[in-house]
Amino acid sequence: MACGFDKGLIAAYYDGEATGEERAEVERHLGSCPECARDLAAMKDLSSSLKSLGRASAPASIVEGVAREIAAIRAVRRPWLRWGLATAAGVLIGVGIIAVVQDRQAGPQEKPLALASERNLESPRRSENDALERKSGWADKDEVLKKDPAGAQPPAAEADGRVAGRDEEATAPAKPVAEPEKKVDEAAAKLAPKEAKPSVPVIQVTSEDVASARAEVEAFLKEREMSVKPGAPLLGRSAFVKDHYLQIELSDEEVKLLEKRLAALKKTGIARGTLEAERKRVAESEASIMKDRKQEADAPAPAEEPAEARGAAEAKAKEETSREFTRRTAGGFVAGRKKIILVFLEPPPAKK
Amino acid sequence: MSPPAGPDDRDLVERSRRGDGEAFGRLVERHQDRIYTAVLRFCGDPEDARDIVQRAFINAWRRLEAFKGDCAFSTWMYRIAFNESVSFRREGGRRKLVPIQGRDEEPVAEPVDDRRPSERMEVEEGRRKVQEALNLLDPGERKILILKELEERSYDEIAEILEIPKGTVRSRLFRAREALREKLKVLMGAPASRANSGN
Repeated sequence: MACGFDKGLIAAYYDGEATGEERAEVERHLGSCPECARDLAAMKDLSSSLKSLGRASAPASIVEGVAREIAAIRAVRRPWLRWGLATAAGVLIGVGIIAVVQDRQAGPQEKPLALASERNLESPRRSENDALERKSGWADKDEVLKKDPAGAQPPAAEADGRVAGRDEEATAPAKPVAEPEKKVDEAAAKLAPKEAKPSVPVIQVTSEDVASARAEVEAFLKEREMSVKPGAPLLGRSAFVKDHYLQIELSDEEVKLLEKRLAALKKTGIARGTLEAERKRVAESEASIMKDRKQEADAPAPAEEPAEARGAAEAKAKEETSREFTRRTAGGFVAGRKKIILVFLEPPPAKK
Repeated sequence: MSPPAGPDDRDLVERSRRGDGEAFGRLVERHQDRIYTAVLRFCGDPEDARDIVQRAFINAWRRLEAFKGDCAFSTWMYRIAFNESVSFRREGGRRKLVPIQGRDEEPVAEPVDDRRPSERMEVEEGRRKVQEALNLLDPGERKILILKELEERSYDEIAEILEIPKGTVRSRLFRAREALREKLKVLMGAPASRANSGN
């Protein structure tokens, strides 16, 4: 037998939101209705259950991520800044071309120095591109060197303003220019035997406790003073397929050591793969999700979103997948270390 | 909660609107814990919550011009964050709801737990079930419960955040509590779920 009393009023009474009159009404009723008294007691129990969840502190990566995105938005919103930079670059290149022409006109004995000037004029741009590529996580030093080994000046030569100091170089002997070139050639020669660009290795870490596996990797990197902050700000994750990615640079020995440590964790499996294989796996997972989703959509269920909007959302999520997938990098370039990608996976749920 | 030190939200919003990124950074720092807690309880997964909150603040930055200041910044942020949670879930398709156990999530005001491991496990199990039950509610019920029980918002504030009449808050809150009680009853009586037994 259900009591017909306004239950919303009891909720308001419990929440301290009832007026004086309403409070009196509820209190009068509670004295004679065990059902409503039970409801009130249940509300108290429920509150304490929910409060047991406690408050959580936001991971530091939120502030960092927001700051990064806002900086990107602002850069896009300020076309005048881009225009200004482009103009400045144009002026610089123009000055450089005039200088090169003048150098060439000066006579054959000065030609090598003129070429050095050309190189210096190009290198800031290359340096910028190099830095950007490295930042994006897919910079390949081999490739940068192979593209134009002669142009790969040490960054210091670009940073200390030698573009402006061309005249100093013009009077200096050719030797200081040749030495960095030699070093670059040596470095390029070391890298040259690799005929085809090797695929980026991927270590697949399948664990029932992904958090612990990630913590283990973070600890490993921290021991080597690599910059992975707690709270996994650098551990990217695809928005569409729920895996965690981390790109790092490690030596072969470090890779073996890390694999050994991960394999020692409970219920954790390690497998080696390649980036191509990983991309294929992600594509297959996505296809499977899309298929399942299509089946779900075909089933008669209360739809929250029109199909076209869902399609757009899916496309956006897909785009984010690729962005997340390529964005995060930990550690910088250290001689002997190579790029490697770690992917953390949860084992698929057992099918009934 | 003590009032925040330094310039008030209105001030910071005004400065952010003029392009002051630092001011917006302070707004994020000031509100992120509250918003993160609400989103975490709404979606049940620390990593999803992190992504959602980040996206919510970025959206807020983008839409600052549209913020008229006729409600508190936090009210507006809750609204954006909940909307973002719903679209995130849609985009993620069959994103599974994982019980709370991520490292990202660190309860702030939790007292030092000197209970025995078995007792602690029991408490943890209880929390997981509560989160699991929350996950089973419909989004509207979840939102209202989080705002009232965890965020301790008044009916007026809830009405403003959810953009519903105050009278609806009363009745919806009662129904949401009833629904959660039912789910909890089932979960407490049922054997541990697959997600829980996996640990």
